[in-house]
Amino acid sequence: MGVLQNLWNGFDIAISPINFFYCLLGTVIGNLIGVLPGIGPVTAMALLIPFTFGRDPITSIIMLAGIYYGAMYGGAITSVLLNVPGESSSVPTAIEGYPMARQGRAGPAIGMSAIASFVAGTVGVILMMLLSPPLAELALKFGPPEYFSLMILGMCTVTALSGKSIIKGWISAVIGLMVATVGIDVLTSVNRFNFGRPELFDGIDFLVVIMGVFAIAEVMLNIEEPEGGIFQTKIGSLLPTRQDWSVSTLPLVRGTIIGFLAGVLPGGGATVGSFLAYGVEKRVSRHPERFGHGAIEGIASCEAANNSAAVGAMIPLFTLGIPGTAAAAVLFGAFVMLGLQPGPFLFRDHPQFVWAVIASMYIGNVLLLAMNMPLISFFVKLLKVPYKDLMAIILTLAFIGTFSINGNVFDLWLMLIIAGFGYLLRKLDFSPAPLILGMVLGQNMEMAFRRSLIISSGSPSVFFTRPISATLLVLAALWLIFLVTGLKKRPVEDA
Amino acid sequence: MQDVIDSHVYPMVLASVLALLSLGLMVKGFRDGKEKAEDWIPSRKEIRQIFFLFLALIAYIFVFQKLGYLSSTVFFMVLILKLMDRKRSGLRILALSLLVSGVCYLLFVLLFKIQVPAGILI
Repeated sequence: MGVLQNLWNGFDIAISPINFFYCLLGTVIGNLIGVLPGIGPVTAMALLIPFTFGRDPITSIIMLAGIYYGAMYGGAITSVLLNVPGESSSVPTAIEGYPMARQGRAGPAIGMSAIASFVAGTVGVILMMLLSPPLAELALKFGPPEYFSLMILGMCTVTALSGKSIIKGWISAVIGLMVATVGIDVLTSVNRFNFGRPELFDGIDFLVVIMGVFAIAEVMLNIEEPEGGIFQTKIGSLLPTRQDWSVSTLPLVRGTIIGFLAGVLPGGGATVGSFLAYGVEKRVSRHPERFGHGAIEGIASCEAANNSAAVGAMIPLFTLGIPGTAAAAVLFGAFVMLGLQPGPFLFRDHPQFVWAVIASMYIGNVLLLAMNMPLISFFVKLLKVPYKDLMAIILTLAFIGTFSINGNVFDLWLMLIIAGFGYLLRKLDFSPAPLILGMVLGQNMEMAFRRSLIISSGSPSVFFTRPISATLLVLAALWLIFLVTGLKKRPVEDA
Repeated sequence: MQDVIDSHVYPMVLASVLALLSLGLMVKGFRDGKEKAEDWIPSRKEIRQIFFLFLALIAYIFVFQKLGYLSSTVFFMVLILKLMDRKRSGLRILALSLLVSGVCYLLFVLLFKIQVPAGILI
């Protein structure tokens, strides 16, 4: 009964006018940004975090979460009409949706993706509700060595699945961990790596890094991108036909389950989920030749998978304090900025907080469905905004957003330097996701590492002799071996 | 055993790991031998545009402190829009810059009360 009672309380908080308003705002903005090509959900969240300053933490997180899953939702529209997936997780939608648009069936393609997203998002929230409490319970038993090993496992999966090279992924993660060591050491109060600048005593703010590596570096990377033309077509009725439904129902269900599992595993994320689900459909289909030429069941499975994965990715964040994707890492950073530490203690000590966010995700899903049906023609118009104008707006927002964190100009210079560095990294195929993950986990990881060594009086064997810790490390090692030997082709990164 | 958990240990562990990884990447690069430096070098035009983008951002930081938020943002937007598309009409660029800067000023300075440097203008 506890779960239902908690959820009820959560709805009570989430439905309050102010929270409802920010939930709506977050989903609308996320949806818009998902539609606009060239801005990913991470950039969107980073640019909008300053807007949440000074608000109640619950309200802020509700809005940021809304941006995240709203963007997943909106990505489908550009995939179908432009053949430009807003997120890498919508690539299969583009593969099937664009041919459908060319056949004059853009309406049902978009409609199916909206419905699949809604159903999967909702089921994801329900599964999350059931799974989270026991997981948080288990995590409460963890000591520092277990936490350290868990973080290693999380990093293994994230670095392995984002980007083309595992070594480059790890390099990116270690750089992130190093950035996190700047500032006063919490245990000994020693100043580290601040070059005598008082602005660096508190360390480098994660928002400065994200603005640099995501917002500004992204503009730099896209500066030469040619502008694509929108495919002119009548959208027509959004409702899929009966024939569409009969081929899509099962793929939708399978996509939801596959996506959710991929989301829960750290490092799986929406991209892995949607590609896996799409691949499964292609294999089990009785008409595999339909795929690639406008098979609506492909859209159903892909969109279901990436939405349930987006929800599933919240589980390790809320229960273990380990973000599984770059977007979840940004949420993690936002939690910390608001003075909350995501993880089992949050679940135990502030259950109303967690359940309010979960409830808001449910409300957000309903809002998205209600919104997308009538607003589709407006979104199509949005696609005509020139990317160059967007770039200018992104840069201005990143500028004032970074300045607003501490109100000093030093952060702006820092952001510029990091942007230059981030551009080079991304240009050389180092994925930025592990860097962000390393950065937000850095301090916890160091504390876990050093506390473990205090327990063992300096012997690193503590990580291998405690059973849970050892199991986690073995899993991490197996995962790495599996990836190096087995998987040659990995999906593109989930930024 | 106090020295084991001193504040320098963890960064050194990280540095060693990074060194090993870099070494691994180098070895792998030499063994594969497929990638060429030319593949990574951006086009001349791209380098020029990124260079100008950086200059514009640096100018923005300076002007921001001297003139104030609203005027410097208009200045920056005009600069960056002109830079990215030389052929565009100046009037449209100015209109867009004024609009975006105005909204940002309204939101951040008037509504969120962020303290911005007091410049000669606003």
